[in-house]
Amino acid sequence: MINRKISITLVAVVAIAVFGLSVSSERKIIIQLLIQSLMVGGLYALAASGLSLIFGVMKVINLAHGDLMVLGSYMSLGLFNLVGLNPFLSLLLVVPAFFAIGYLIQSTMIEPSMKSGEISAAMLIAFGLSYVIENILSITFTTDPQALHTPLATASYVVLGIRFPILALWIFGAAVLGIVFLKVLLSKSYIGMAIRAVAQDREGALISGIPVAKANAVAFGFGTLLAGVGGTLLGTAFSFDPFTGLVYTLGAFVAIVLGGVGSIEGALVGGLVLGVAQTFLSYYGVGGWTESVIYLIFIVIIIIRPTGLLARVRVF
Amino acid sequence: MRSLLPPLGSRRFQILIALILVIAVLPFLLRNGYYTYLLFLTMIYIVIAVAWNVVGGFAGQISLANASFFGVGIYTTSLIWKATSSPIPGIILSAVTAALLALAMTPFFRLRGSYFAIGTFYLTIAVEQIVNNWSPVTGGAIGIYLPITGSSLLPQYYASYLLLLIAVLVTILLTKSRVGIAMIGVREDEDAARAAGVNALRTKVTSLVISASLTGLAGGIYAYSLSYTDPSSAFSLKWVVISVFPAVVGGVGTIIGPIIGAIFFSLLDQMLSVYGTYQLLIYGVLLIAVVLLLPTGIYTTFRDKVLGRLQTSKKEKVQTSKREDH
Repeated sequence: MINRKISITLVAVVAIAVFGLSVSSERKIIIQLLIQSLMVGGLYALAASGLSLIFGVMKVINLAHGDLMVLGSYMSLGLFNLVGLNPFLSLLLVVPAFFAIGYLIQSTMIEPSMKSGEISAAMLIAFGLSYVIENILSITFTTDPQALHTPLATASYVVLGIRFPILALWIFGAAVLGIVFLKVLLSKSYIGMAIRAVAQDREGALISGIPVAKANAVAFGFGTLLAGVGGTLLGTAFSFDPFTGLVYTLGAFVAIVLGGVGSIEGALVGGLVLGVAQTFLSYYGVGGWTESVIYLIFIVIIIIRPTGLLARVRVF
Repeated sequence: MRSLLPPLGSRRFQILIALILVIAVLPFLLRNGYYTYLLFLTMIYIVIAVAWNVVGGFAGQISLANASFFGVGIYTTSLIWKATSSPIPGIILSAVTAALLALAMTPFFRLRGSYFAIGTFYLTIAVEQIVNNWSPVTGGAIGIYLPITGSSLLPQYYASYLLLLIAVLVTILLTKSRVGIAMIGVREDEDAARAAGVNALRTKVTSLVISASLTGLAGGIYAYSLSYTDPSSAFSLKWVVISVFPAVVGGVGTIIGPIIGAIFFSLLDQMLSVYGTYQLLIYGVLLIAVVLLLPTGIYTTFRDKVLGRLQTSKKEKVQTSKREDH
């Protein structure tokens, strides 16, 4: 399954590259754009893998996911402003803090709201959280765009006249690492197996004595952790403001559906495909229509294949 | 078949008639344009919530596309109003354009549960983006300046009041009608409803079209009160909140729940406006608090806890008095 997905992605990337080459003779630009896509795609992949875990296990439409991501950007910014901590080192604090935030959100707010069985109740909590995060950030940091400045942000290798920004490789590497970590966690650890059991059959898991509420909270914790890491990396690559989150929430759901709901490595594939699509669409003159085109394609895909383009129905 | 209204001459009937009359003369009692505007806005919120309840409450389809029906209503009315210098044809056509959008959404019903919610959420975002980019027709991100109306909001007030009465009447009619019962059947168990001969797809599309027409009309009447509109305010996520969540806050599965929820949201908007920058922060905290503290909704909690207690104490009284008789 993994091989098939990776080969499909490769074929897609090559197809886009060949198409690009046939249209324009500027090969360098095509390759440069593909490298650029790794950066955006890696960020979407990080957001999507975390959200995929949350959505796959709890079926909660966490519309605050992108806001949690941006909260990660601001945590690194705050640490940099206060004690001059390097944004990449601040990840050491972001990781445990965001696991705790996610764990608490699930156990104190989402879990109680899931009891009524109405998906709109949990969604209302997520909307509320989104308002709270956006406005705490606006009040604390103003709504001005911010960025995390690192020497890495501008550094790059130049090979055969093609620029490889180190940051793009870092972000892509972090996305792969995060997804491998989740895979190992879900397949090898007890709590990971409990999370998979809950995702597959909540009632069956309850009957088998699996601590369902705890598994949910841990799943939400890890999902939020990945969002936080993605947020810090987002800040080193692009500018952000308190309302940047929605774009990443929307992108993450697109990536999940592209890669297959309930598949962690699918989130990586989906994130990359989205990154490539977005980079190329906005470069080749679609301009303001880029997002509309992506969302409309997404709507068509979700209607035709609700469980995702590249996967059959599966749960981790 | 039970009649639509409480029996003539009963106390509930008298309260109902009194309420209808009081709301009709309220602007003249208040003699305050600002209060009239607040009441108008509250009635628009109620219509949006009651309309959502048809698809979300009755048929159980969590549609996040109702925000786009509202926005389409605003834009239909705004564009036609500018072209014809009368808002009325636009408002009427708003119901048609919103209903057409709902009809075009038929394939969305391949999606169930959370997937339907996600798909419709992206539709709202996509429609906003399209209106934003299609500037030759819609005016694009710059928005539309609307003709100036008289200072009195009375036409808008009565238009929204009429629409409110229609929306509530439609909901009550649905609870008594075959198609409404089919909607509830689809919500409770789609496969069982199909087995019983219900055309599930047609039922769901019907619920969405009814919901869209009412929401589109609300958008049209709302546009009539505006002097300016643009894509980000017409298709704001605020309208997702106002359409979906009054039912959760007020009480799912009731007719009066979404009405109470919509009043709650309208009051929240007004009461929090004094807190300036903290307004939306408090708003978010209150949304979370109300779900956690009143998980079954304001009305349902009130009915079960307060009225339930009153009724049990009445019963106890009856029982004790019976015992005394013996």
